[in-house]
Amino acid sequence: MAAKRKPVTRADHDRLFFTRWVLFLLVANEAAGLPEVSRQRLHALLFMSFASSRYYSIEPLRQRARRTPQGPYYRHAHVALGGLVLGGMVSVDEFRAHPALRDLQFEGVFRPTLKGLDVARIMRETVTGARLYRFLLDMCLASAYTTTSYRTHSDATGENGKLGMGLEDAALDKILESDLTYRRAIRRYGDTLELQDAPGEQTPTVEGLSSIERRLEQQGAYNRKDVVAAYQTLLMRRSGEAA
Amino acid sequence: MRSDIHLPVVERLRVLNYPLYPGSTKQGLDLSFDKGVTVIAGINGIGKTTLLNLLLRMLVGPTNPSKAATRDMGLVSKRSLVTARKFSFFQDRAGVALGTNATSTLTFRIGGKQIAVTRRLTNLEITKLVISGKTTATPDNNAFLEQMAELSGLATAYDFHMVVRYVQFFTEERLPLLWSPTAQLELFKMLFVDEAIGRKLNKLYSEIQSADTDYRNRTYQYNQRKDRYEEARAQYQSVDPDLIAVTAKLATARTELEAASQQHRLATARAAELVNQRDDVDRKIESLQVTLDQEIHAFHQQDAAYIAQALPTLDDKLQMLMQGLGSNLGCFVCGKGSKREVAAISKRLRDHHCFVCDASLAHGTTPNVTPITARALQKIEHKIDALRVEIAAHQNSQQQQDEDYANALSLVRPAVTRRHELMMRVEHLEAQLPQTPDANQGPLLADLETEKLELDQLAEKRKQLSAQYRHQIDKLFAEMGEIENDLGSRLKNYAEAFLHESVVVKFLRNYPFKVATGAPQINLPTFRIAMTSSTHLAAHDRSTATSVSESQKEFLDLAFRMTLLDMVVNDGATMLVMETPEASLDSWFMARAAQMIRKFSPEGGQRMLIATSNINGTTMIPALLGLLSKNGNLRKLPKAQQSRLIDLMALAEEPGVLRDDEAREKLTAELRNYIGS
Repeated sequence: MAAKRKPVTRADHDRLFFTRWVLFLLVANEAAGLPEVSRQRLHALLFMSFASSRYYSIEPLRQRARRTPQGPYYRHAHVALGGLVLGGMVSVDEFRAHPALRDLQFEGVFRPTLKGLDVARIMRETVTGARLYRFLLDMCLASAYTTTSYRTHSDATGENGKLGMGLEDAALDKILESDLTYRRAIRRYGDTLELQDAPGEQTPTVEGLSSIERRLEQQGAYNRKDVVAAYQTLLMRRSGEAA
Repeated sequence: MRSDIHLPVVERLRVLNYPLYPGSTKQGLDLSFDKGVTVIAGINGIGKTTLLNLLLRMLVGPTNPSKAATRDMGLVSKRSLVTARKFSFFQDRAGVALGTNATSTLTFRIGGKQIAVTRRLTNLEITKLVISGKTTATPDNNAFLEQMAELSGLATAYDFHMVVRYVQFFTEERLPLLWSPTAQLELFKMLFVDEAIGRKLNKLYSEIQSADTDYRNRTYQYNQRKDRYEEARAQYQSVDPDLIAVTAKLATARTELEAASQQHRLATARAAELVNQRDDVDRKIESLQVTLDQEIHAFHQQDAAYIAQALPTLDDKLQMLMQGLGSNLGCFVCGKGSKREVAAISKRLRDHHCFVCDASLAHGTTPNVTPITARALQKIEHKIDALRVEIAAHQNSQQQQDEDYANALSLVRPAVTRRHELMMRVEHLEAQLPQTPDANQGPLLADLETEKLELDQLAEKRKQLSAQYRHQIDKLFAEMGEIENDLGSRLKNYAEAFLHESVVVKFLRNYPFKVATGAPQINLPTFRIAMTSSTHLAAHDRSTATSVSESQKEFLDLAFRMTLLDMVVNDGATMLVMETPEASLDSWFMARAAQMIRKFSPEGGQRMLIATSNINGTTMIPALLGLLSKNGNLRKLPKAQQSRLIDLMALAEEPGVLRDDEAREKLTAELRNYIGS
């Protein structure tokens, strides 16, 4: 840890909170054994995490995603990622600049480094940090469970290999694309992808999670990770039916 | 008479992150306003009215939009005119959820000071206030209006709100001023006569109303009681009541009444006690909530600092860079570099600049500050959690209290009914006893007589207050007499400029008015218009809005506002913002209307006039901008003045009709005629 405190102004808050969220997400993704994170997937994961964080009583960060042909895009995530890579906390493979008219973007595959894991451990020492990480880990573990089930199901039904990419990759993308809040946001007109209509209102994702929780309550023991896993499994199934 | 009044004059409006106004470069709206006439042109639904609404609400804060002519500012409750019930006006107009970064900043000048107020568009809350270049503590809207009232020279925040909203702005929310003698009286109080007269009139007005309401309510009750008393007497006196039996019944009824009163007192006291308890809990929750907000605010600062601390410092990054440069092996990136580069980098750091992008950095705090520990943060987090738990516990107990209160109320209601029944019974029985000169024998009658006496005194008080009110109106009339000729001739000039008819303005004290239903009638002074017309060659009185045509009515009301503004600012800088009511005008009157409007704000003067206009192929826009010569030829706006024509189609969100190429070409071609390509 650094020897002295750094001056932090109010203007730095959003950037720092976003950096923590992104680093935790990358570490949780790695810990859950999910497929590697591309730029596009990172932004989609961020969107789903913001859409569902209130279910864990965590306020989503204030940034809003922009609509791009590749899916949601957070300007702050790009800045945070750049900082994490240059700070040696995240490694980047297959780097290439991604041409975009309004913002500098880059493609690549991102993984936390040892130093990144160490910094994340320090950040998890606070209650807020620990809660946030637990939530993101639950979300990633639920995704891992759902994608593994999908692979097993595909192996059994002989659908394996249809999609021309890693099955788990494809399954994860399906889950992210089918998220209820994301589906609602992209149906609307506008440059930004809105999470909720009015302050204090629940996102469709949180509403979905809460209704699954009510169903599970009637069936006995469960935890929030089970609820998230059930939600993602339903999304997978729904996207399969739609296809 | 009042000293000069300075009303706000806008200079610049910036709107950020509001979907209705993306601006020409998608960076938001940034409009500058110069002295003279500025026209905001656009098609239906593009947001002209919303823009005027925004200008107004930046000045006065959130208010309920109300349609024209539905109220009279001199007669309705003051509170209802300015109370904000609809905080989400711009949120609703946007159609999508606005972020907290959707803001607007209005820069304006008032009383020699430049003010820049920033409001959040979700609820119009003030987020920043800069007065003469100095950022002040962010006030709430009431405090802001108080400040503005003081700078403008108006007596109260209410006066400021009303004058800006209904005199300076002539929009769809306008109220009739010239056509309402009571509205005129309000304006005379606010703008012209001595503040003391206005204060006294307002005080007397509410006192008369209160005395009148009191008198009428009590008279009604008195009459009812008296009727019952008379009825009972008539009934029982004729049957020669058994005095012993009546007295016995009366004694029983009184005992029962005493018991019922006791029960009523207990039930009421219990309900009151529960209300107090609930208030206590409310206060506790409020206080805890404030503490919680403060803790969360402090925690965010600490949490951010903790994250910053865990991330590599600039020094760490510098060390890595310098490792290569300092070892004479050259830069990691380009393989070159020498001591000169090392010196340049060091200098940037000494000057508190980033060694990569040269951006200015915040100065460091004193060295060797103790780092924040996770434990310290956990302490605050536990405190926040504990506060949340405590608030939740109080909220739960509140629910229980609500239930208790509902139960207590259910006991109060029957106790009140029972007590009332018994009181009626006692009154009935008392009425059966023979009337004696001894007051103890007839308490009810004595009561009635006392009440009658008090009612007479109240009526006398109401009469006296009305006389005082009339006296103040006399004073007001005398003061207004000093400016009567000036105001009349200005109004006449404006009216004649538009109407092309001979106009006579009279200031008469003959409008019958009652402050309250039972108060004596008072004649109010009021400006009235008399004019000739195609059917009446001699000028005759047009005292009501229905005695002139719709368009005449609107323009005369506009002329009255121009006159008031002329008078109060003593021909100095002022501003009028209007929606041009061109729809009801034929082409001849359109030119005259534009002429009247330009007369208020002549070129090279101190006045500012902002008007919206539809792009509808008429001559209203060029006439307002003074681009039409006497023989009807059209000239173009000089380049330096092109900001006088604001093309909202280029700045607002594109409506469906503009996606039709033919429509777009037709509409933009019209504006090109005035400003060139």
